[in-house]
Amino acid sequence: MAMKKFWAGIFLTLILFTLQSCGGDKSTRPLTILMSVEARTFDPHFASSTVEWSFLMNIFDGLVVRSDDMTIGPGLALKWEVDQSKKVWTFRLRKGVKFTNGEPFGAQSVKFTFERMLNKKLRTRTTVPRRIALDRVEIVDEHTVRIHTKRPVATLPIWLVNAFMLPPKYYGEKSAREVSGKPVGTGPYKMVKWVKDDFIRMEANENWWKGKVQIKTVRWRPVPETSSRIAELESGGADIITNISPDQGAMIAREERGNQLKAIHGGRRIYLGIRQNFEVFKFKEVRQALNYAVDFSKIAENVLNGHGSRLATIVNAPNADETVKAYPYDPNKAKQLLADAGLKDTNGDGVLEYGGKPVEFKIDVPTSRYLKGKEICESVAANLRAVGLKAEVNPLEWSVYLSRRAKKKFSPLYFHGFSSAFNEELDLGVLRPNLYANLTHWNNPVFIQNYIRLGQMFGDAERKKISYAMQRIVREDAPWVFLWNQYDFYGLSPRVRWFPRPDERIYLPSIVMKTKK
Amino acid sequence: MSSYLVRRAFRALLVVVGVSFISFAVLFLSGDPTDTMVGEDWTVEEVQKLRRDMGLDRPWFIQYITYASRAVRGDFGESLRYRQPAFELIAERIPATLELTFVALVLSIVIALPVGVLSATKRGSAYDQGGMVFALFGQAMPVFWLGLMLILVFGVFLRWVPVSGRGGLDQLILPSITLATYSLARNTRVIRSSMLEVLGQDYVRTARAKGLAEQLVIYLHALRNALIPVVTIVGLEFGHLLGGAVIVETIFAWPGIGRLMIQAVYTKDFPLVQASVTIAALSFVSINFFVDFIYSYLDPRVRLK
Repeated sequence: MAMKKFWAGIFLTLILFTLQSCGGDKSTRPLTILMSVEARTFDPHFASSTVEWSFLMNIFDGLVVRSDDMTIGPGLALKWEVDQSKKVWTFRLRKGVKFTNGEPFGAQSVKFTFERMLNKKLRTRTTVPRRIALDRVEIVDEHTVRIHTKRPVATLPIWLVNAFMLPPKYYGEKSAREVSGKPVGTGPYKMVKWVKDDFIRMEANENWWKGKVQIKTVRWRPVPETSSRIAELESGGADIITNISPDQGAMIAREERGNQLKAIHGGRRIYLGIRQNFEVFKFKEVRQALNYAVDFSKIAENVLNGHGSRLATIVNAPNADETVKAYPYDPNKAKQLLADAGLKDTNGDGVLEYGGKPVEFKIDVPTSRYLKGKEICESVAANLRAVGLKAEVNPLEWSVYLSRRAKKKFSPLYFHGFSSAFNEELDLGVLRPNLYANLTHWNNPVFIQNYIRLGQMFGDAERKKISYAMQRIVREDAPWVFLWNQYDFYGLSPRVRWFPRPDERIYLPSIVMKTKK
Repeated sequence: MSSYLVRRAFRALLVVVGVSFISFAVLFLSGDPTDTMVGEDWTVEEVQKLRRDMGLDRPWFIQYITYASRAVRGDFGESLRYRQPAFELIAERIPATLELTFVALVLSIVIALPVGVLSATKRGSAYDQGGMVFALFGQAMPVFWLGLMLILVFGVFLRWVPVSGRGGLDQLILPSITLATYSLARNTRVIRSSMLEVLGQDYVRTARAKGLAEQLVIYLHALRNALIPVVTIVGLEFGHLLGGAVIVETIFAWPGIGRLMIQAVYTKDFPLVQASVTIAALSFVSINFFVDFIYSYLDPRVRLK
């Protein structure tokens, strides 16, 4: 019996040693970034998700670049100008740039890239040619191109942020399927290996035109479960983790492992769309009342761990009109406005009525899509009930939510968040009546006229004037219940120093790996 | 014998066709995939054009017939998200899922067999009660919770094993234990009850009466017969493990079919969902068919029914 126990002890110790040695030395592993979702393509003309743009901006360069502070600056184009007709843009290109396969970058690459976007056989998904009303690309000389548009498009440089330049020979000779997983660009990194749903390995492009990057190897891994991402960070298996909630973030910061929580005021504008096909929401007073009724500071305090403040205007900084103030929490004013609109509680049950019917409605909210969406809506519903509107939260799984959107069957209020291109025209464009994702039925003629004018206006001062006027219209006419600019939360290991961008993208050259002293 | 097998094969085929039809109909009812493919800046007209271009504006039965006629020729179409043949995407992930399910299956049998047999032979003892409590916990614990607990204890606090991913053998430890636990518990109970039933049979008493050693009675006479229901359970278990792999693969970021299916369902990637569901159904019915075959071989009475 004693012998048996002895052997059992030996066996157990061996197992423990084996397990312990399995852990390995994690301090030498490459920079590891965990995202919640996986990319499906590395072809810029088929990409659409934020995570895909994150990968692509590290492999490719565009003619223009959106910096970490969200300003537009020169990329592969040194400078650009638009002619008198406002339909011809001349781009002077950077010299001596090479793609990672050795092909030189030049005017031919620009022409090829835009022509590939328009290739009908490929059926690309990029919207760039449509957004810039692309007519044709003309080669002036080896380092100069002209982009001709069908109409004046003031936002052309903004759209070019995602128009990554491709090497003509490589992309011209290979099929779309072949290049999908083997991208070749001029960017700071090149993709070395992609095992779908497992990992992506990138290595520094030693010949990047901007110089050498500090981090040589980067490993990206899709880990869909948030708890697993946090566990990876806490076990020392990751350096940056994305998409965590504020309460989970607080947990990371509490740990004594040196991990940090980074919270960034993002560009995504979170709101409740007010559907004006619901009778009482046709009245401006009622829409304003909905805004006055919401106590966002309490939501921030109780639901968002103290992060965030109320959205004032739908345009993000630096283009926001600072004089436009967020709706304050004023339930008495909300009640007054509702009374002005003719809503009365005739039977004393605490619910207002209109046309003999109680005002009751649902708030559609997609679950696990936006940060604390359901919890925010529950607080809003409580606020609305307090002023006499019988609101009820209707949580929906994301695909069901999308399907209802496609059938235009949203409830009178719906929770949604628009990302931002950090441009006033594009930020305001989310309220266009023909936009697929806009189901408010809000159609303000002055706003539309101004929007059309804005699209044709090139001078910064004039654009600013129109944009500010439009922002005031939106605030006053209240097509949304304004909520907040969603914060993005990241977990960082003690090995890295990094300030996240507000556009949810991860640009590797901005990350600094701390060196051991 | 052959008519029995033909009957079973025909039934298996019906199941596969039925499953593919139902999954198509359910997916179709939940809306078309264009919703998940368009950007926030798309206009109503652009979305309608995309729908037309992809042929998604056609009636559902036309789309199903087109799909089915291709599928019988082995062409499951191209994934809408990946723009790669759906079958190819599944084939890329099959090794990961098979690796996980196979290890979990082996683990569940290798442990369940001695625990179940010992529980039965030492019925009522502390060992039996301990084994059954373990089985009860194993069956009651949600896979999701168990996975996260294992990660916390062995990955975060003790740092013995990696938390997620696939590569080394060490990365297989936590997901396979998580996946195996439920099956292990169930198999232990099945083996125990099957053994108990067999141990009460006349031929076991006869074996004992003729003076055979207890070990021989148990392993040669009783266990062989007790294994017949276990074979059936193991066949079904494989299907169950494939289902469980969907959750385990998500928790442990394991690049298998389960995760692919989940993503495909969320993004309404019709061809990919159809292909994976059809292939899953096909593998499930094939295993059952195989089990039926073995069963009829092991127990001649089955063939006569």
